[in-house]
Amino acid sequence: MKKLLIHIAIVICLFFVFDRTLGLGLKFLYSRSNATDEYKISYSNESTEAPLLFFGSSRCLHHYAPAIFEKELGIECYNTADWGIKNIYYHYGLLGNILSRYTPKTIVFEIHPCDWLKTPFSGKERASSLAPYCGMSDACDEMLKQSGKYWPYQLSWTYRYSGSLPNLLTGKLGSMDRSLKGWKPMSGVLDTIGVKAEEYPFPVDQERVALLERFIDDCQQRGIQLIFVESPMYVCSKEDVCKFPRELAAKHYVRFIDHYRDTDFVGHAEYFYDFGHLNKEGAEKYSAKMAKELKNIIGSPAQ
Amino acid sequence: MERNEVMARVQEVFRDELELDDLVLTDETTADDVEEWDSLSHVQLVVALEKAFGIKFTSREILSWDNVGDLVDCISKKL
Amino acid sequence: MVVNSLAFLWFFLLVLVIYYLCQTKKEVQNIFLLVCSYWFYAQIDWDMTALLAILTLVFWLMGRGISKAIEQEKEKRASLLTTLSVIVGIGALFYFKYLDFFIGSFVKAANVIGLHLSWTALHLVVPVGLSFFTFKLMSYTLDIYHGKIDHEKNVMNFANFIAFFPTILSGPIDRPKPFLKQLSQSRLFNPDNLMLGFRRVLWGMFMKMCIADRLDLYISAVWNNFEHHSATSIVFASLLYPFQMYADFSGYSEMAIGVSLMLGFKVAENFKRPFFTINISQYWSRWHMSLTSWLTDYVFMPLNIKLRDWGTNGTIAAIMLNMTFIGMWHGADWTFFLFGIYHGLWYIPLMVSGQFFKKTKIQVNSHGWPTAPFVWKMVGNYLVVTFGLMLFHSNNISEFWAVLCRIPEAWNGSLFIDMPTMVNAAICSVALIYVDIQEEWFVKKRIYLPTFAEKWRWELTIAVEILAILLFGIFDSNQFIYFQF
Repeated sequence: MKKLLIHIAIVICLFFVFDRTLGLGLKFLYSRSNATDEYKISYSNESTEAPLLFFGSSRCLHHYAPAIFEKELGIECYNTADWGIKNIYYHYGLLGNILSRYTPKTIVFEIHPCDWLKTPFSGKERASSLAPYCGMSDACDEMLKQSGKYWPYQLSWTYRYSGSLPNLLTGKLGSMDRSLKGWKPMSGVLDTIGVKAEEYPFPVDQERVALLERFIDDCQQRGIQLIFVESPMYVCSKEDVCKFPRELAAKHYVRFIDHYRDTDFVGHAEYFYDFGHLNKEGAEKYSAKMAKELKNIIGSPAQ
Repeated sequence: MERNEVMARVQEVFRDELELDDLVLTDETTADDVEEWDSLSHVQLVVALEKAFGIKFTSREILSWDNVGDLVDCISKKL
Repeated sequence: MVVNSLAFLWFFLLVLVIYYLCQTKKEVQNIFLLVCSYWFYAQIDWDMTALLAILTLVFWLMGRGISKAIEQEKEKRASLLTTLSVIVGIGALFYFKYLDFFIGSFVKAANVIGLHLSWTALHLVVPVGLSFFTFKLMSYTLDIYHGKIDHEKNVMNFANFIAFFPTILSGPIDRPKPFLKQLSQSRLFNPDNLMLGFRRVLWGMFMKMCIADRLDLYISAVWNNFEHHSATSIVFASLLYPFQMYADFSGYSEMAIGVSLMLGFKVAENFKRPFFTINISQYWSRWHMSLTSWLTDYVFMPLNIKLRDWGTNGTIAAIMLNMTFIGMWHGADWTFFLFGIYHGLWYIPLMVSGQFFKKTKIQVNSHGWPTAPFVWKMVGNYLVVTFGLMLFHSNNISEFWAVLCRIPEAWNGSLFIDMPTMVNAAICSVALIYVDIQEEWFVKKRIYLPTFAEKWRWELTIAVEILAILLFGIFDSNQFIYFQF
């Protein structure tokens, strides 16, 4: 028995030594990787200090070109959005990490139904992309606990990078263009055959709503101007998809810019990459339009 | 036929079928002890033994043998 | 509750502690084990727990009856009861697993020839582990009948043999004699067994989570959308499939064997590096060994013995029937039937040439590596297995045919590859292949370690394996490769 306990103790010691060493090495590689979304997650969480930030799902990722906003508004911008149907569980943790470093002046939040509905395809597990930042802020840790991964991430630093070794090794060889400041343009045009509007037949998730309200609170307490946006779709649902964010925004005195049914874009296949994402041309046109609108808003108090 | 004669004859058949010239069988020998003796060669051995002794075994008898001793006993009973 | 889940970990730790605390009293330890096994089974398939218990009791009673009949030299009675036990076992399997398939096929065939029949499929849920524990049940009564074992007087021991939780879900399929023998004494706390068992569990987790589940992401992405993929992708995915299945099933078996060992039980081995073989006969002697040895002993051998007067033709017939059973055991569809036939056919050249009856020795060169002809035969054998598994993988014959037709159609397309998935899988696969090569051909050589580290070889291995599982393993079932067509 004693021998066994000694064996177990040695294994645990060796494991911790290897795990922490490897974890540190992987963390280093993570912040330098350009392979896929590591560069975004790391820059957003660790480095950016832009006064204007864009938050949201892949719709935000592909739609907002910081360069265009910077030109119009004269301030530095960064697009923190990520693909993979990231939702409020991720955004709230990300906000916590950012606020632990600095306070941006404005946040433009491309809100998505998975931020307030109980969507089966996007849930608490989305927060696990914050794995490398376990321990950075209370909000981040709280979201990691929700995803069920907090304690595993605390136990093993290596586990935070599970599955991502190839991306981390290719690191500098990756093709993500950091000069685009987080925007990922898509080239190509939508094939319109059989395209239908995306519907969301899911109930409201009170937990997510509560998180949205906390997001709003945290911003307002720090004097951050929060703006909700909904960008256009190629085909729109007959339902009033934006009813909820509109009412929530009104309740909390947050400005809501609704371009969901914007006729400049709806039905224009040449501006879309797929049914829900604008292509490069569409994003540039949309960003230009949004930049002008933001110019009128920023600086003036929210109505 | 005496039992040890049966055993000698059985050993001869095994040596022929398995191509092992210096194989020595005892009552306790099992298939695990002889590398060439597996479920496939087992049936060939059975056929060869039936031919050699001019007898016929039932399936039940064949499946009941645990070692060479059982086999030899079974043959002796039939002779 | 899957073996590689956190829930199982807690369950098993608790079981281990109490299990070894009871070690002084064999009966208490055995009863506790039985309770754990039934509790485990109930968590997974509550509805069928009663069926498991009932079948166990029925077979135990039949075993007792056969034993008594043999004692009293009532040959006919023993034979009848044994046949009845086989009918019950096969009957249970047939009812849950094959009824829909056979009647459905019969109705289809009848409709084709003009008889208008209809049938509403029962869509029965197959009890978990049914294919495994019915085989254990039948081997018990058959072994008693053939005088291989005495009937187990203690019904708890028999119930433990059937319901043993590490192996009830997916095997290995144990035989009554060695297992019941181990139940007749208490299993004492043995640190070596615990360490060895734990190492096997870790290795199994590595194979399953880091290689099998990872490769499955790619193979499923291609195979489930084969109409949109190029021939190169389909062929590549098909070539990976046998390896993925090996990592999956062998990995799972390693975990089951390791858990059993931690409880002090030695159970049957299931895999022995099956791709290091040069013909189909050798392959099946190393793939899912507990199943093939069961079918060899209880199906092939009796058949071969009955047909022994037909010479080689008799053996061929026995093989074909045996392989058909192997195919059908895996599932209820014509694809499995054809899979069995396909493998059976590959035995024929071996039997005709006499190679079937000889044991081939591996030919090595001066450095201990196998010769080129030997390696080519291994590759050829792998390709034979690959094609068979394409049948196995298909949901039905029309899908198999559609996949085959797609290949010449889409030959110009580019290879779809998801680099991160492939690199992750490749790193781990290299490790597995390295270990297998070392165990197959260089068993005397070990991975070099400096002298100071040699003392802690096993601790280092365990720590590195845990890290590898954390870094490369698939931990949630939500992962998929996004493929845009």
